[in-house]
Amino acid sequence: MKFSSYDEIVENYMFLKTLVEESDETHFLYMSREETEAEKRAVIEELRADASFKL
Amino acid sequence: MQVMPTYIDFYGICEIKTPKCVAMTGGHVTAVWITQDCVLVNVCKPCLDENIHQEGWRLEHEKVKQGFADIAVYSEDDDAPQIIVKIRNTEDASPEWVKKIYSEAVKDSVISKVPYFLLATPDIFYLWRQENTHRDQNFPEAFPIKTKQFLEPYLKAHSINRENTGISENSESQDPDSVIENFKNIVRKWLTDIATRQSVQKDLPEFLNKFYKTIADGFVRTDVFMHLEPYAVVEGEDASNKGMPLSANPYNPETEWNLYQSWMEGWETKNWILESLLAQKKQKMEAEYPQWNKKRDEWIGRVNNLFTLIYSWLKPLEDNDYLKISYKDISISEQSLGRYSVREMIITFFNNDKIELGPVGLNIIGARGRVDMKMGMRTIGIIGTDDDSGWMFSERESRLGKPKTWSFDEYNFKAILAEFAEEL
Repeated sequence: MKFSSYDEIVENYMFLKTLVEESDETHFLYMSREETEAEKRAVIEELRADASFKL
Repeated sequence: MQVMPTYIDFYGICEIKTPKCVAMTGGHVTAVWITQDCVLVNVCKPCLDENIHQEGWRLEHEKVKQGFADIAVYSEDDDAPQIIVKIRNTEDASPEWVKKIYSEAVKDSVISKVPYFLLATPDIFYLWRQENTHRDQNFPEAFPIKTKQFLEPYLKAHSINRENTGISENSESQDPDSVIENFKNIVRKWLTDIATRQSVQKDLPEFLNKFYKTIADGFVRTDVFMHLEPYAVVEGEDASNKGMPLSANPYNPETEWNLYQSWMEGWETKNWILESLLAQKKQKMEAEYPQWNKKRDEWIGRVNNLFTLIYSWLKPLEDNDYLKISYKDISISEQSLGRYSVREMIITFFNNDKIELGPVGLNIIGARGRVDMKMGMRTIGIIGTDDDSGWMFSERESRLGKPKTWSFDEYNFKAILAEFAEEL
């Protein structure tokens, strides 16, 4: 994916972050609530690292 | 004689010049309109007081009566009053009278915005927290406190009793002015001690604790015109400013009210909302407690049954010393179920490699509990189901997508162990 500005990278990160935060429980089948939250945090951290790298 | 204040204060020469005058050659004065003579007169506070008491001057404008505080305590930075005190020499006051005094006082926009209002009478202190008066006119209820609860030490210290010097207008030996002046001095002393933290009260109810904290480190002033505020008598460190107009430290009632309001919203309202929310949730949880207890016991029972089943499958291997089965108690904390203790099964092979079967919890998305089977880096979930077997295997092969599942039976269980055994 190509971005034409820094703002777009940040916006893309914010969009994905919201998506992960609000993602439905069904995406985390057979996981406990704590595991779901930890998983979401891990994914967001990866997205953040990815966006930082792109910036 | 009726006089009408102009609410203008300035530096000038007092035209009344009583013996108590403080502006004979120049000082802080205010202009009052003498209605009868149609003249404007500059007068200092002591002369104004003197003429009110001795010459029968009557302040015509209602606003002055409303805007006057017998005692006020200003906040530490001296920018806003924290409490307004009205002293009245009336005992056994009726609730209607109390309400009338308060409602008249808070007609004044400044007084209505001060956090606390105290009506001090010889037998009862009526303390209001004025949190609701700004937005509507539903007057809050006063906290009535027996006067002697606060003032007894001061009365003793001054060898005062209510019959001879107190604070009662029944005393025949004293003129009403000196009686009320005595009472005012005692109340002022009491407030000064709170402000300077010399009066420490233990086991106070919450609202009084807040009141004490509010006026702590404040400055006590007597005879304050809340509108004009030119004649403050200052006690404490601020005494060097005696006689200075309070407008030198401009008081912005709106700012003060907003700060107070935000404090209220930030601490009181939210705290109340939080407390009420927690109480509601706790009540709901406690109501469901027996139900959750039952669910928890049933879950622990299912885990034990699972271990018994697995043990029966592995018993021949244990008998031949290929492995050993042991148990360990672990503690799990789950929403609604709380913290509880449950067994974990440990399969130890002859070379000391281990497989741990540890319950994760009952509250699992899409399942009726989960027990994790940890084998080195690999973890297979044993998922609780509603079908006859009650369990199934599950393994997440990638982060995305649904985990792979297959049936839980002796054959599959031993197949997993065989895969593990290959690595031994």
